Amino acid sequence: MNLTGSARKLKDTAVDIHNLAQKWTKYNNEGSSIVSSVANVKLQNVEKTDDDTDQSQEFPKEKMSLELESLCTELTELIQKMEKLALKFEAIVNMCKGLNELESYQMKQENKEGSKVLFQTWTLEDFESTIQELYSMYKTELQVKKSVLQNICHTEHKNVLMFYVAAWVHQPYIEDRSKLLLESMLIETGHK
Amino acid sequence: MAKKTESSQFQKLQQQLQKSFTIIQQSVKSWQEFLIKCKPELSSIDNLGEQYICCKEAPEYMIPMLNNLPDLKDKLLYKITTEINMKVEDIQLEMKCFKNVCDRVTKQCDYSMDLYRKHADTIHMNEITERTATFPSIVDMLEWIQNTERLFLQQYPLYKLWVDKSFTIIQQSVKSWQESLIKCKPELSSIDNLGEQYICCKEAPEYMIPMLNNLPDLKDKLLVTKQCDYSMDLYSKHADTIHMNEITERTATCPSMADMLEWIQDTERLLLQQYPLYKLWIDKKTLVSLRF
Repeated sequence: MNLTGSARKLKDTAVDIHNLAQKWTKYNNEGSSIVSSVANVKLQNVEKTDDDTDQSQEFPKEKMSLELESLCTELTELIQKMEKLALKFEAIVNMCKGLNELESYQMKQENKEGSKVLFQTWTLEDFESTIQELYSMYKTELQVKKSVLQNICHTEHKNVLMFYVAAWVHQPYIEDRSKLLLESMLIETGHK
Repeated sequence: MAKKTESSQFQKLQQQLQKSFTIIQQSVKSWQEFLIKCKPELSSIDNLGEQYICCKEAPEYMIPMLNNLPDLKDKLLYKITTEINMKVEDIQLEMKCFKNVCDRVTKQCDYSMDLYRKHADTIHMNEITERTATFPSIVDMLEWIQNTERLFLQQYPLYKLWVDKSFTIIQQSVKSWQESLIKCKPELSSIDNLGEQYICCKEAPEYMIPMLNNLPDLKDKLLVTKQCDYSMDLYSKHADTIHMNEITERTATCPSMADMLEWIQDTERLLLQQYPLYKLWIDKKTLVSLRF
């Protein structure tokens, strides 16, 4: 069946969001290994300063800062990529809002109330709220990632380092619900 | 020997025992495979447990991002706990394989014992107790087979209980218990002991993983018994002064003191039951493997 208008747009959007989520997971995995390396470098240094004498401290510290610098550059690049994903997501959210407004305007013109079901059960409003919810999860998660990048190199405390690593790896703001929302959207639009 | 071969019942019994031991050998193999399969799961549970403790203990004033995202810590701990639970569920599924092994061993033991009982009157006592250079006596073999069955039957529920209670949570709870005791009753003088308790209890679950190799350490682990006694003594000493609500109250991050006392008692019971079993297992295992 050839879809047109809002339905066509939303069907493509569902695929876009699915791809965005997959790319995000890929970047997150890459980032996890970088963050773990940062934590390892820092922890090694903490242990060394405990053991070593004063004379031998200079060299490892220099080496450490070089290593940290390259790791941080990698992480910054990765976060920039994630930021681009978030921007694309935001554009999708705005598009959905636009579609919703357009529909309500058209309904007003035709003197009708409520909104149309586009595929099986969801209305445009349902799509908008789902996409908005997903976007807010990724947006907050991006904030977490940025804060991790800003802080991870400036702490010597083991538990705090572990906290940052865990906060990156486990993605606390991307809830399990996100999978459900995404899957339901794909099923609703007939992709699955 | 020539006489014995004439007795068909004796031969039947011998054949049945040979068959049973072969099947038991296979069962032991699959049991060991089960343990190996669980190893990566257990180490990731261990790792997640460590992450949980680190995140929980990380001083909040040192984490500036918590100002902007105050619920981050709770969400993170929740995510880690969910993952631990998922891993524990995986192990619970694997336990089914262990159950099959137990059933197979029990069946073989029943067959052999039934056959023996059936012919017990007709086979001469000398025949069943006589050992040769190449063959152990029937009595010995029947005893081994029964011991093996008993071991498996005792091991299975223990493992199941252990997995259900999830040892990582025991690890965490002992730590939180220490914290809550410090918070609730600062006047308690035996707090030093608690540190020792924590270390002992923390180490205790790990021996479940490498199993047989770690037998020499087992005795040390029994120190837990002592620690359990200390804790129970301490509790009974202050039972009158601590309010019931305090003991039974649970928070999102800290289990209740009553729960923790139960866990430490369970831990002690498990260890006390495991030690003699393992020792018997090792002693018998060398013998049985020689005969296979």
